[in-house]
Amino acid sequence: MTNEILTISNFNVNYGSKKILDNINLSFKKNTINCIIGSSGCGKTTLLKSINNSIVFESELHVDGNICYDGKNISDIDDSTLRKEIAMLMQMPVVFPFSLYKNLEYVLDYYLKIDKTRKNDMIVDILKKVQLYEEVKDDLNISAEKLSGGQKQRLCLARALLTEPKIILLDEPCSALDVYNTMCIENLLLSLKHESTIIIVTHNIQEAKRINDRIIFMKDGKVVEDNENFFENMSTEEARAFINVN
Amino acid sequence: MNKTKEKIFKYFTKALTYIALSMLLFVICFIVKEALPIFKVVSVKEFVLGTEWVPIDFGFGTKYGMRYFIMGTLLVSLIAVVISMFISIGVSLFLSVVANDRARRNIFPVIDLLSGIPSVVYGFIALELLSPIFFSFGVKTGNCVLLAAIVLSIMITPYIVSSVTYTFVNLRNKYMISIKNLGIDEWYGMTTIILPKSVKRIVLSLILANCRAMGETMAVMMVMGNAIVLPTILGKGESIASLIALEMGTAVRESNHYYALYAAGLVLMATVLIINIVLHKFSKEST
Amino acid sequence: MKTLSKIIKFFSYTSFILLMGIIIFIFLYTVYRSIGIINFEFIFDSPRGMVLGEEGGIFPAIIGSIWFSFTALILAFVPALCSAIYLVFYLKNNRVKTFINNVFENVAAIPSIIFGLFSYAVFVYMLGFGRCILSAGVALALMIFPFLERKIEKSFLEVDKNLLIASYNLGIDIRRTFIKIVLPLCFKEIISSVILSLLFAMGATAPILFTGGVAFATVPNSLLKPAMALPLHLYLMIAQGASQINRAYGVAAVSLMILFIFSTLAYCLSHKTYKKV
Repeated sequence: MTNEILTISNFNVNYGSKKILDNINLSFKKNTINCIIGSSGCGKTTLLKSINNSIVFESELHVDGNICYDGKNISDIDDSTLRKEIAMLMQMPVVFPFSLYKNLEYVLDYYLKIDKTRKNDMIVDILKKVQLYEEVKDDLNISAEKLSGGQKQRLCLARALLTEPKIILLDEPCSALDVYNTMCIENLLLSLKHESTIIIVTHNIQEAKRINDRIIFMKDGKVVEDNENFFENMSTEEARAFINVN
Repeated sequence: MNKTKEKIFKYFTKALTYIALSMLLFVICFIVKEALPIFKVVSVKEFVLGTEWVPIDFGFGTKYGMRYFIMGTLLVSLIAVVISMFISIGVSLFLSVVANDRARRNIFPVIDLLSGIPSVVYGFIALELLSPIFFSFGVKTGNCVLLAAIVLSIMITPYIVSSVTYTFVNLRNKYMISIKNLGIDEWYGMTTIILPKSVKRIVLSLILANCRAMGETMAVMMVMGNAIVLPTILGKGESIASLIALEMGTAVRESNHYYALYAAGLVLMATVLIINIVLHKFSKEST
Repeated sequence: MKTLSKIIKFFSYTSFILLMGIIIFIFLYTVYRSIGIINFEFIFDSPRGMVLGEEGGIFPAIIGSIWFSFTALILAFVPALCSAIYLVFYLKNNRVKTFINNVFENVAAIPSIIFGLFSYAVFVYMLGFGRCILSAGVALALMIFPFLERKIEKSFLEVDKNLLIASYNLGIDIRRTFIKIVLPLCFKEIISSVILSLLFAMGATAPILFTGGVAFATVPNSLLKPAMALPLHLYLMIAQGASQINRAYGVAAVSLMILFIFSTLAYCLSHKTYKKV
């Protein structure tokens, strides 16, 4: 019980009469990498957005069911606090219109009151952690918009890590990146799992194979298979069919 | 058969486009042409910078100096923009953050009603309700530049609101999800990221609104005082548009007075056109 | 920073309430002050009294305003529609298109009184029409043209390009595509834009001041005669020191009610107009 950080029970999401998520029941153990796979439209992104309650940004959806984070129902937790502890990274990295340095300083200034030298140290540390420091150390004041896609994504990851999240949600973070950057991010996730729980939506089967501790295969809004040894021992027909095609 | 119809259609629409274009350009050229004769009587410098406006010869000669009118126009429009800036940005913030898409769609027409209210009605209500307030504070007759600026500010607000809200909404769509996903309060994000990034567009909208304000005739004419003196905020003044409206009826056709009024119109038109052209170039480059 | 954002939040709520309050106040107060004034006689009678408008009605002014705005519309509509069609569907040369669009956009900023000046010299005198509805109509048409053209152009641009491509790929020429596909789709928007342009022309006083608007005239029956107009009538009542202020409120109220009713109509027709934001 205490090993579970997130539990989703009887969770449904409807858009009008269309069922986007159908009776989802899942629980997540601490410090694991959980990969959600499935074809487009199966509800993976909606599931992710439900966890940090960012589906409220889309007002037309009707939500029903329970999500428990750290023992508490997320509807009882203030959104701001929830999102501080559950970080989300999206497919297209969105950097703020500031310098790279300020993108990170911005988050620190919001949450902490610390002096400039400590701030600076924290920023350098986090950049080193996401393997970005060496590439940008000569000019931390470069506008973040001038960075490459891979660098931006790592910056977004660094930004999210500054809030010390216990769960990190990622929605196809590498789909717009090249092989080098993808490997970078994957390695980062492998090391980050020791501090946080990772839930990643991906359509890259090889990637899922590389990093997962557990695979959740979804189809038409339902969880079809939930397996810690997925690639060795698939149990459902649909999963096999999906892997064959992909 | 179809081919000829198509050809006629194409050339008809083309012809009308160019006719419209020429007509508009003709208007501009014509104003210039009708204004030129005055510059035989008075130099451009004297016309623009002179402080005396005596269009009718009472025995002391005529003078055509527009300085006070130019100052009046600038003063009233700038104050109007400053006043409107606060309300407009505030309303735009509300519309982009608090109001959802549907609410915006329903509120915009209400705000646009303001832009449809005839200028005379604005002047009338200001004269009836606000002028007495100014009068009780010691302003003679209650009419002054500030009052005109207040009325103008309401008139130009819808234009600023629509343009600034558009900017805010676009930026909000771009950044707000990321901001909220970090657990950061949306008004904090609005203030620290979106507002600063909007400054350029806001300034552009304000300058365009300023041009609108400079051209406004009736409301300003009714409450600004119309005294040909150095305009001060609580004192009287006269705008260029008011000058033309008030004196055109009595100016003898093709007299110097007449040409001078056209020249005044030219000054107004040229100022507004130049600002607009420069601004559009500037905003196209930065988008 | 956090306190600043709280202040800004408060400020935005207050500004919104203030602006809404002002709008509602203007409409309600004007109507309130005109209670008792607006009756059958007011609308359908002619003005009378030492200062015109102190007694009697405003019928010639209402009809005059209608004549002025419709003249302006007729003069401006065809060029606006054709320009929009040509610029959106035919003209490919981007430089020329940008130039024309720039001219239209910049002319939109020209103060309306300038168009009055133009018409005064050209139509009233040079062409000899004198002060009449036609001369004023020209000035008003020039004023509303950029506005109308821009709105029509926008509605054409919102038509799904794929529809057009599909039509052209079938070999159908632009004229037929426009008439059969674009026009039906944009029809409501165009009507809405027309209504808004009429309202715009109806509220304008400056361009008609010395081109066709007068203090007293009978109900117009010809384009070549001057006429009264609602806003001008209101202005003259005030300028000449009318003592029956409630009657002035009556004129204002009529103007505002026309604005309100037809704006609502225009808005309902064009449910798409504000969809972009």
